[in-house]
Amino acid sequence: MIAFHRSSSILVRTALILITLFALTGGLFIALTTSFIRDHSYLRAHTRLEELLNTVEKTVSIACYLADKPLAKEVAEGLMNNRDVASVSIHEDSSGEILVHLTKTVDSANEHHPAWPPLTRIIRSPFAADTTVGNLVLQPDVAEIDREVDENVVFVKNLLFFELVTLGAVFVTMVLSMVIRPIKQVSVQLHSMNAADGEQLLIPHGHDGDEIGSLVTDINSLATDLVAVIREEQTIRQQWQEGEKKYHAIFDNADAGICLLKYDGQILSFNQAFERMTGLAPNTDGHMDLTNMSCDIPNKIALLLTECLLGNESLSEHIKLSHSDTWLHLILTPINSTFVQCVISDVTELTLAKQKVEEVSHAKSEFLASISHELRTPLNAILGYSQLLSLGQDYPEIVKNQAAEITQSGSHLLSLINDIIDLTSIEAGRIELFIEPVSIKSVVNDALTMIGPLAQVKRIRLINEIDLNESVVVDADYGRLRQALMNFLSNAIKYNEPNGEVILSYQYTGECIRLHVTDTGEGVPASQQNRLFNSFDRLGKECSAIDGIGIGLVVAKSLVEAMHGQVGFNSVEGLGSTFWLEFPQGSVK
Amino acid sequence: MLPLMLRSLLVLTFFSLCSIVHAEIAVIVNANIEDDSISRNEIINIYMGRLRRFPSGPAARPIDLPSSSPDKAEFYHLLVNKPLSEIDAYWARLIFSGRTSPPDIEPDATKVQERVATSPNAIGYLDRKEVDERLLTDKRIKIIFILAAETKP
Repeated sequence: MIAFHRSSSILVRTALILITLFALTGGLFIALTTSFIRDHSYLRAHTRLEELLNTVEKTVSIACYLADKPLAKEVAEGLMNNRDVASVSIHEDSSGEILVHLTKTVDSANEHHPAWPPLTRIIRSPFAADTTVGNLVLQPDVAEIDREVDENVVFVKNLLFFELVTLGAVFVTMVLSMVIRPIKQVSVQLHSMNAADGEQLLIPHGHDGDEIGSLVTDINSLATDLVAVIREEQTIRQQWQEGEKKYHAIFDNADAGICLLKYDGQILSFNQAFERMTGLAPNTDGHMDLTNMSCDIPNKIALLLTECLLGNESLSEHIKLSHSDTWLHLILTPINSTFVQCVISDVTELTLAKQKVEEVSHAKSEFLASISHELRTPLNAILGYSQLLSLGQDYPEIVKNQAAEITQSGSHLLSLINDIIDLTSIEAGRIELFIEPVSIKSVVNDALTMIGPLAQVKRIRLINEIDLNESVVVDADYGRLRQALMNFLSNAIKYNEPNGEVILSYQYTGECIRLHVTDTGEGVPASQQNRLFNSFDRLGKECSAIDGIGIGLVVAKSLVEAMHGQVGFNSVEGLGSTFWLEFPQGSVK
Repeated sequence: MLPLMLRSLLVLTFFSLCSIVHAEIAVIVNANIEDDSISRNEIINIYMGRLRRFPSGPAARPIDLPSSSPDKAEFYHLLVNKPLSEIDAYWARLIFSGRTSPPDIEPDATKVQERVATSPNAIGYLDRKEVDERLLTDKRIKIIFILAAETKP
């Protein structure tokens, strides 16, 4: 029954519900009505018989009074003409005689009906109301009455049944025309609808404002939304497929080794380059594990993996394989909480080259340190004696002038050598610093005083916009800070336009204080800015009239960084440059 | 004028009705009848055809007045307290099927007296005053019952 309900149409279900409903309510209604009609009909029959008795009472009274049998018979026959009457008898009292007794021929069916009590009427004298002259006994024909009642009941039952059937038919027709037909129309349209082409369902005629209309509207908007979503999905899928192809192209053909790892180091996929670089092979249970790769530091890969997953950020690290001289550069990128993408490049050559360069650089530093030291010693003698010569009274003017030239060149040579010694000692990590709270105002004033003559010679105007008081300090080595500042200032003067300006200013950047040295020179081209802090690189000014060997900025940077500060610059070609150095604000003196 | 006339007419009608109510009817029989009295019920039985016999045994033959006679109406009124129309209806019912018949009708009081005087089985009725007058001259009849308003059932 349930399966039938599921598969059957609304019409069948409606009809079934109606039949059930009508069976229940109709049954009850018919039972009640039948009972009522039966009672009512019996009452009517009884009343009718009583009325009949009333009608004949007077005549019966006369018949009894006169003991008139023919009259009594006439009356009885009249009564017997009524089909509800089974028998009539009239008794006369004075003689006790039965004037008449008539009985209908009895059907056998009659006996099955319960007997009604006979209707008895005491007959009084027509001339004396207090005198009884006889009685009239009438036996109703129960079978006949029942038949009449049954006819009535059957009629009413048929009427009700007809009404229910008519109502049901009307209801089913309404359901058919108002619900099922429009739904079928919509369903047929829906079957043949091509939503991708923007087709829409038509609202069945006359259902614009009702539930079916709104259903169709909703289906249309749903279809539109679905099509949009599917198109978006298709686009995304296409992009994803393209991305997948690109990834595979990279994955399969890259020189770098690429693999996908689980959090425990198990390798899920890898490319040929990876296999070639690492030389890993599956272990006994067929798995490959990146942590099995033996490197110079044990457990390093497992630690990196954990760090990468916990920090949820990319990590890169150089490792050296323990079984060979291969250096690998690992980049670990977490994809989610479980998987990590690992990209490996063979950096053996680079690493070896770097090591070689570092060795060469170290040798150069060593050489420079020793040669500088050896150069400074004789220079002291040259400077000392040339100064004596230039100050002596007994020498001709030409000798004095030449001696002064020697002194000037010697001094220049000495400052160059000092710079080289500084650089080498910084690079060798042998610089000695005396960190103390240094007042910015005093170090700036000191530097300006010392650089003043150079500015005068070059006709450059120095503008000091730093109006800090003495209490603003940074933790630094006074002399080295002044040296760094002077290197910036001397560069700003040397590479400035004629009659240009050098402006000193400051700015607070969070917890730090930043000193700016701004010139009005020609600036640094963007293409050369990355070479600015390279040693001995003068960005093409090697052959210019401006003296220098290209280590001033390098020394300044090294010094500032050694004092936990930072340097930087920004420059616009043709407008000038601003170099800055920055220190955390120190405690007040 | 008119209401006055109407009023006097009503008064007259009232008096005439009173005279009817207070009239007495005498039931008379042949002097040869043994019975000196008879019950009202026996008179009813005789007149309505139930038992047409005198209490002493001989058959009784009732004599009636025509329906136009006021004495007839008075008689039936005093006897069974019914109007003439009902009495007529009673007999009408018995015309075709009944085994009894209505009383013989004599045209007036004199004929009734004559009939009773001459027929030994006859029984009739007359206005009491009239009977009293006639009895003085005719010894062939006798009063057997007086129907009076006071004695009516």
